[in-house]
Amino acid sequence: MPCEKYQNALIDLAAASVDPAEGAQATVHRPARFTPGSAGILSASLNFRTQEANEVRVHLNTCAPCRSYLEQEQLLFASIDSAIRQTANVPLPPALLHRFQARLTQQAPPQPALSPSWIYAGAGLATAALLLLVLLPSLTHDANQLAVVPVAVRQQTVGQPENLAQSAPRSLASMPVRHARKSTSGPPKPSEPEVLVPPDERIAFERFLSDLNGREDLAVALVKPMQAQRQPHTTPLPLAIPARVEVPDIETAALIVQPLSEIADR
Amino acid sequence: MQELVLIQPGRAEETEWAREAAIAARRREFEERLAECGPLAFRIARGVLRNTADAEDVAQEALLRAYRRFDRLRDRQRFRAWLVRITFRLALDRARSAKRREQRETLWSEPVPRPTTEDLAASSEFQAHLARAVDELSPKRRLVLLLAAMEGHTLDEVAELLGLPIGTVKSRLFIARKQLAEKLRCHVKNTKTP
Repeated sequence: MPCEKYQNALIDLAAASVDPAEGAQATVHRPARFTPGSAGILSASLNFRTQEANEVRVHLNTCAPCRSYLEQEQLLFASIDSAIRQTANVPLPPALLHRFQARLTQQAPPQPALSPSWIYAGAGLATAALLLLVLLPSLTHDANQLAVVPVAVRQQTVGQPENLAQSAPRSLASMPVRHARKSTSGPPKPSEPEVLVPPDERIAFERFLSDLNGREDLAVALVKPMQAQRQPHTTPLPLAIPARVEVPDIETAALIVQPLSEIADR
Repeated sequence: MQELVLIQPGRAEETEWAREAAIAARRREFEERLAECGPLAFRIARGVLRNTADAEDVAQEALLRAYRRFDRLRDRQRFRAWLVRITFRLALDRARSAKRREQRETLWSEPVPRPTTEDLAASSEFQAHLARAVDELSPKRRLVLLLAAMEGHTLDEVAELLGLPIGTVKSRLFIARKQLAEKLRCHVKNTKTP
């Protein structure tokens, strides 16, 4: 029996001292043997530190049971390596490669791999289709809203709902909800006017366009009703009235002046 | 436009010819690699399955898979490592399914026939114990152990084949051998002690 203190160290040493790659020559009958005092075996160890290795070496030189145990362990590892090598390097069956090639010939030629451009194109198409599927319901819903918006804006800006009721095709409340998403309970909300251009900006834009086209008359025609509509409660700006100078009537003036002088005298 | 239509068949024939030439070139290239790596595939399968017929089956299957996906392999220099992985995985699958089948048959049918004298001669008692111990290793350690013992591979070559650092290969091999020794120690002492 080996010394208990060194048993694990001796096993590690045996595992490291028989090189599995070189062990082709080492068989069960001719194992790689430990030779006392040889530093080569100890330095081949994987787990040994120098201090530990030196300690084991010194001990092996003095302890016969440990030396014997190490030899047994080396024999065991050599046997294992030899058996594994024997299993791993079995001779090939005759005509193995010919059979492989025959099987390969029966096989249909492999399909060429897809080029990256096709892969990218496919991925792009799939993404586009997915986006379309996701966005289609919301797009149709927005289109419905946009179709109704002018009517609502006209109702708010002109302020004559009785006339518009005849021209409006349908009220918003009667419009069916066509999108697939679950809507809130109750009738759909009418479209908000803030999606359109505010009246001020529209007037300014129209004036700008008409100025551009040299059609000042058109600009005035467009602006007039809009101004009246925008500020119905405010007083209009004083228009420039051509000055009219009348010839004073001298007699009338005298009549007027006279009573004034009398008043002054009083 | 009419003229283009008349020219089309010739172009199609040319394209077809180019395609066939590419396939033939690919097959030639694959056959070269088959001659180089076929034995390795067989030996890996044999190392796992310990049966020549099964190993040949698995090696063929692995080579066919590799052939079908040969175009997808970007780095052709990695073919050997690629084939090793495919073969080892297929062999492990085959071994597991064989084990399950054996368990079913043991439960429901007649007892398994005893091994023939030839089988007994081929595998000694030590070999049988060793085979059992190797089966109990983890697949990672098992593959390193087999490759290190196969075709004179150095540890550097094993590390390159598996795409692992050399230190990892060394430690896996060291632990695998120690595990085997642990299981076979008493057997060797019994047989070797006079």
